[in-house]
Amino acid sequence: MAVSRASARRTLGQTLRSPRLAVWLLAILIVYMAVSTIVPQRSYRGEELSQWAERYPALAAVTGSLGLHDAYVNIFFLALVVLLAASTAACAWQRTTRATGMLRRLGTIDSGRVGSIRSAPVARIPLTGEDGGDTAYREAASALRSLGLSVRTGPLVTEASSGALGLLGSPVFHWALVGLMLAIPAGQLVRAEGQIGIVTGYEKADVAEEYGVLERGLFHGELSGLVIGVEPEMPLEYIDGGVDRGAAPEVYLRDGESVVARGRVYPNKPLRYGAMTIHMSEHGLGAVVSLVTSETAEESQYLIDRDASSPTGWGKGVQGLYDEAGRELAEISVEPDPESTGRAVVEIDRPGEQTLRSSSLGVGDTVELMDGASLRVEYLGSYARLSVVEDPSVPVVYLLLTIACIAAAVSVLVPYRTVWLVRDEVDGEPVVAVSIRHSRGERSFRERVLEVLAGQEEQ
Amino acid sequence: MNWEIISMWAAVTMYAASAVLFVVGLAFSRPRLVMLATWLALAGLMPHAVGIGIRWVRVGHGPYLGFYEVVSSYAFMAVAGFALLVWRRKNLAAAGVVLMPVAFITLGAAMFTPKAELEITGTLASWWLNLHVVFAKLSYGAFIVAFALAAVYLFRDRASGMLSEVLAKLPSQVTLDDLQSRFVGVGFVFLGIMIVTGAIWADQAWGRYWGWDPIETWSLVSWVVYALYLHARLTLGWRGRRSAWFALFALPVVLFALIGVPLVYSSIHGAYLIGY
Repeated sequence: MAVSRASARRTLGQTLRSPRLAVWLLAILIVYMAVSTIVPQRSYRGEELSQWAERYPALAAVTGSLGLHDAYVNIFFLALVVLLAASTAACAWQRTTRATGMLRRLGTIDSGRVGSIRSAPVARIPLTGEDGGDTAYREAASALRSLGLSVRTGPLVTEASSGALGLLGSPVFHWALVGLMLAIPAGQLVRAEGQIGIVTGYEKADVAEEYGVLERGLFHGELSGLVIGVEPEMPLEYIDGGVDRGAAPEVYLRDGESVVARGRVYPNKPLRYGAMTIHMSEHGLGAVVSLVTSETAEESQYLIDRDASSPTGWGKGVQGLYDEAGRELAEISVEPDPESTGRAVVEIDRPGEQTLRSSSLGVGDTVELMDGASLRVEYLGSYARLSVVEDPSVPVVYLLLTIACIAAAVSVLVPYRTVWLVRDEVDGEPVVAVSIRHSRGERSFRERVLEVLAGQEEQ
Repeated sequence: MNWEIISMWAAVTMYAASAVLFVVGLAFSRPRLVMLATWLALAGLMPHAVGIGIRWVRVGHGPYLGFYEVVSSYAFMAVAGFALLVWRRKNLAAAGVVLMPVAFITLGAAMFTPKAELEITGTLASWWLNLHVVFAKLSYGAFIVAFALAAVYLFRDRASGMLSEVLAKLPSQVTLDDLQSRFVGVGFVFLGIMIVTGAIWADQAWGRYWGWDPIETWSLVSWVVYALYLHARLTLGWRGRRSAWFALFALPVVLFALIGVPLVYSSIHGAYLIGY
């Protein structure tokens, strides 16, 4: 049993290390990604999905059943990434052991290696001269410096090699890729992203109930609970560096009484605090209306978006009015007054009753409700819809991307090269046996080394 | 007088003349014509640079907005890459027989497209854009040169008679093969940096570093295609003819990612090519 388990492990290891598997996985990934751009994606072109299904019903049945409209969260893609990560890890492990072995042996050579170079060299170059070839050997060794190699010469063996850094490029690059293939999906599990609309001059708490749209990863805990505020003044065409940045609210984050972060927010200038990033997304009209009873006055924010079909060009901001048991008492909507700029109309829609539509209202005006309660317009202005992202994995992903780029550059631009010269005799005549290695397998390096050594011989 | 347009047409003319001289020089075994073609190509870089520079100063941003600017600057990078190649290895000048017709046709085509002056928007106004664009141009330039080297390799592989004598002056096939792989390697690294800088920029601008938008996806497809090239070459020993064919077929994928995708798909990335 133990033998079969070991053999199964060995087989698995060999399969994962197989270059053919890696090549096939990369080819499948290419085809899969290309197909995903032809088929509308729910996360990206979701609005086109139904039209596409109507236009190509047979194809849509196939793509739908294969999960191709959720190409990057479906089980096939996840399995492909897991397999690719495992194959890359096996490959990285192999490269690491090879590189560390070579690093350990740097500057040393055992008799077995000397023997193998002597028995099967890339070339044998005669060493001429009256001193038994000593001078020719030293000159040949020295000539290798012209290839940018550092040369260590012994009486019988010369090792010329490029910097050891080149050995690490490829393994580190592959490990960084493995890290990315783990960190990116893990990041999705701990990430939260939502859209929160806040009327200028007002605040909302960073809690799930305040968000219009909120997506949370499986392992994301509660939201921060901080208070997000938008200052009253929000220029709609904010100019910075001579460029119109669009609507740019000044946003702050408050923890209790203390403001922990503050800044004007526009594209390329988000507000950051810990793992939280706040971007400006959209803006529209905003209103704040209070429900006033004999004891309290409770404010609600109404967010009004553009609506091309409406005569004012704006839609309605809608909020439900609930009792303590959570039953909806009424739906209240606010919209701009089509007759008068800077004023609003409030509609109160009670279940089973006729909709009550107010007259034109300005700030401070009230609408009487039943039971002595009333609605009072507190504010009419703008609102900012902010995109709030909490993703602690971003710095890790950036770090791994940076490492991957540097390691790939090292691997490609400074490949490890080594040349061995081993003194030998053929038919009693002194020769030097040459062994050449290039980590990227460049055959022109071999040509170049032999050219340099031949040039030395001719001199 | 519009010096920008005059300079650009001067560049187109020089590239066209260079392309013709390369073809004639190689076809009729006239090394002096090949040399003249090389000098014409290098000289064409000057009016091309002047044209790009004049526009840069006038519109206030680099050559990366709109089809005309994007394609013209990639043609410039391809010829600049050729200049680098010839500077390092003079006997590689014959690669111009592939590169110069490509440069002439792309720049010529760009000259007939609308030259709308697109403004920098709030999303585009970022230092990351500069890095993103620089590495994009470097990587695409490297891939175009690799394409030319691969074409020359395959051309010589099948050439016979007088033509093979002319091509014998080129470096060995082994050297051409290695150079092609080096340019792919460099392009691969630069393309990787382009994707990373783009991701960081997207996070700054939109709050997410990756969204599987068609342009993002196709840039990753291009990167994986070249990863496959390098992997197959290093681990499966795909060298010589196979490697050259791969480099030939890989470039259209990159060009589709750059030019085709913004034209075919509606994307938030469309601004750089078609201005929305």
